[in-house]
Amino acid sequence: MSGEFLKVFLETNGLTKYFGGLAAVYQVDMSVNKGEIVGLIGPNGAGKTTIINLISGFLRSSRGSIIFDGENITGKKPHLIAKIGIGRTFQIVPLFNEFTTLQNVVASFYLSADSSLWGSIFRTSTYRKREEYILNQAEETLQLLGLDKVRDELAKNLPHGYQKMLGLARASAVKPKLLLLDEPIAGMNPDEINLALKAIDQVRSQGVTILLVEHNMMVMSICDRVIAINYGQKIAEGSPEEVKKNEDVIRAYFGGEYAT
Amino acid sequence: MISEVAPHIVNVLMLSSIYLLAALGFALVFSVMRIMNFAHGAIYMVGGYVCYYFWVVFGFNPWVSLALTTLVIALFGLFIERFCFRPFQLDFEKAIVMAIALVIILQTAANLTVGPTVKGLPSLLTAVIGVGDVMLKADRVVVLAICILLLVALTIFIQKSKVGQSMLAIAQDRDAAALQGINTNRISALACAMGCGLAGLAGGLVGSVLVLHVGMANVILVKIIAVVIIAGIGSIGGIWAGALILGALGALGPYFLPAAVSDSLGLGLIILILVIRPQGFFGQEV
Amino acid sequence: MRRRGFFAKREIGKMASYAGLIILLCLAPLFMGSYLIHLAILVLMYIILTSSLRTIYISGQLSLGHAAFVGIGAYTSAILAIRLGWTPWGTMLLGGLAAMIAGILIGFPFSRLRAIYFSMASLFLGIMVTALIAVFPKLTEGYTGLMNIPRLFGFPKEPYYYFFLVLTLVTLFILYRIEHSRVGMTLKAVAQSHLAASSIGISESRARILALAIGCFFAGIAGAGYAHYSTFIAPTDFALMPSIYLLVYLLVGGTGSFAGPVVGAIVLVLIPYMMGGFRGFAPFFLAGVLIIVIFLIPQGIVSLPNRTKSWIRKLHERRVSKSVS
Repeated sequence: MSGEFLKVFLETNGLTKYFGGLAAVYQVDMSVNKGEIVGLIGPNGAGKTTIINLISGFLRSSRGSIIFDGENITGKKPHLIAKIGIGRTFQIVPLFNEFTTLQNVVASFYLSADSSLWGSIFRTSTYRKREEYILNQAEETLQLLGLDKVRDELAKNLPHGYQKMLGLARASAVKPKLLLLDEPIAGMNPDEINLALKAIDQVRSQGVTILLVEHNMMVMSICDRVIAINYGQKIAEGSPEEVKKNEDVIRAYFGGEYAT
Repeated sequence: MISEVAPHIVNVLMLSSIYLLAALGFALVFSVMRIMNFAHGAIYMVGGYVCYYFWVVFGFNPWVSLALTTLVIALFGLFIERFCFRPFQLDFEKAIVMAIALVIILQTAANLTVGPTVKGLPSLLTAVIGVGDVMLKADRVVVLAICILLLVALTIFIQKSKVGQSMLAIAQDRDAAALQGINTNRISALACAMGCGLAGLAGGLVGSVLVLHVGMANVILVKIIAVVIIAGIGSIGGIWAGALILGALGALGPYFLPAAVSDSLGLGLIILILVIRPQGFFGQEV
Repeated sequence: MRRRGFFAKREIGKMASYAGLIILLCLAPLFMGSYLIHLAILVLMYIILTSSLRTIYISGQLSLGHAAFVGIGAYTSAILAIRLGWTPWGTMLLGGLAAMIAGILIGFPFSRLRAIYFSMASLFLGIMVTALIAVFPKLTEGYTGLMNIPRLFGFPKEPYYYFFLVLTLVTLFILYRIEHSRVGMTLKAVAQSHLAASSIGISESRARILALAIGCFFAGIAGAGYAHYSTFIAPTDFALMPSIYLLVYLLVGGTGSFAGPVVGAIVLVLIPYMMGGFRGFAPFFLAGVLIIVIFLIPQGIVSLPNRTKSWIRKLHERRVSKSVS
């Protein structure tokens, strides 16, 4: 795995997004190498989520480009980007409320499955084998994240921590090549955080590259590299210790809720 | 030349202004209560027939009949706001179903009582106005004048009066308006009453310059929704443009194209607008 | 826990009762006069139409113009059979395909619209199709309607009944299977959260277009079947009010379950016919049922058994707790 360590997997060049006259993200050049966990930090409103939205296709960039695994994905629709192998979580988890926890995760597999109409109607053995495979994978994912006890609960009835866990489960279920995590542990209690970190680690050990947005310092320590953003621009980059000590970063957080 | 064109212009303007009245009523209900009142066309039709009863059957003075019609239908508007729409403010599906139930009831009642006969209300005035070479039917001019007066009055009311401002506030953000102390229920009721009253009045006016028939509900409903789509949700000002366009199409279309073709063209245009710019040309961003 | 194979024990009981029902339905015409058979045919047709509307509904689209697609199927089939002399059995299929293609074409622009705008657009579409039918009177005989459409069978009604019975059962089978499969889940997912769906690779517009294609196909075939049964169709059969009625049947029956549209269609189509001389007042009854349902039974008639069960259970619990205290 470390042989591939320096291969650039995701790269943004001059990424810029204007909302009206305001630049939420301005000329951001960043890269993530294959197999890394890169953290994206910055104060509230710095533009971190906007960057995630741009990479995952939910927002269209005003300028700049995004290259993933050699392919230019700028401007592609979000579902195509998901198909290419980029998964993501959301700060406010959009759930399939009327589905159970299990069904929410099972749904993730449908992107790769052939949505065969014929198979669905006549329940061919190909169809049924695939269903069984999906079910097994989904159950495994649920167990990994401690969600198996609520597997048949409707998603809308889950407490907040479980909902975030479900968001993580859904994003990682199809083993994407790149996982964008937008504040994955915000709002979780310590036990849940441990479970989530273990899961993230496990996902990483399976070769998934991760770009992580978080405030919590504990999470920064699992990152190989950290990129700091403020006012939509990159202000620092390096190992977690280096960035923590960086003057610009400290100034950005001065007076904020950030305490080391 | 002018003497040939002028009556047509008056027709277009008059038709547009009547559509405008009806559309404004619909838009009021839609903007303030966020409910697509499918029954608006039926209410307009009922207004026409109620006016017929006051005017022809009971023999009241035409102006009195029109005024009474507006009042009666407005009261009906209060009733339906309270019992039909208020319970379903947040549930757009159920609100549509409720409106559908209303349409079914009103339309069936009309079919059963009036039947397929076509009725007409007498003209408000039989005189013909002559201005130079131009001969215009007085009743159409009067109807046009009434509509314009009403529209101006309404616009002033909405822009200047406290109640009108409240309506605009609710149309933008109901919760915020409530937090500012606006009694949303009462203002909604008023908006609905006004909306229905306008529909009823429009029905009565149409009855006097054109005809009354049980199919008029559907015809006007399509036109009203088209106007509101062109104008955009939440925009009361843009309705002027929409109504003018439609009035023009409706009055002039049949001269150039067979009726069905101009109908389909108009509808196709509306669909195009919905697809390209669903929020209309003057409305708020969705 | 996981069902292995098709014939697990619980399934046999269910299958037996379905088989019994089907046998009953097959034998029914022997006891019904011509009028009742006609009624049954109508009910079967409306079951197909309402169920197909629901397939579109579960993808988050409330269509107010469904009858237009029924009309496209009916007119396509009728015109091909009359003008080109093709056999109705073939033209029916083509009618279904025509409706399906129309649904797909409509889907491209419409599937990007948010809920209420989709409903408005479908409303206008429905009206426009009716107007378009009238625009080509040489083809469609315009507003006066198309007559002398070739029949599927002879004059007795029984074969038509069996035809519609088979059509309904096949349609329900296919729609049921689709809904409870991966495809169905994709449709429902898109209805619940297009953000979540996009993030896992599901294209919202593709799913919605698929729903439209499926729903419109069956609507078209049913419409074509009707055309070759009644031999007369007119644009007003497929205009605004019929579309609205279909929606009413769906909402009253209940949108949450597959049986909802079936129940809704049966109940609401039969009521006017049961009112005998008071047929003219049937719409009032319908409106009344509508109002009662949305106020008291929001999930539709089909939810009544469950609700009565839980209501009885609650009553029982209250009585038990009273006797304990």
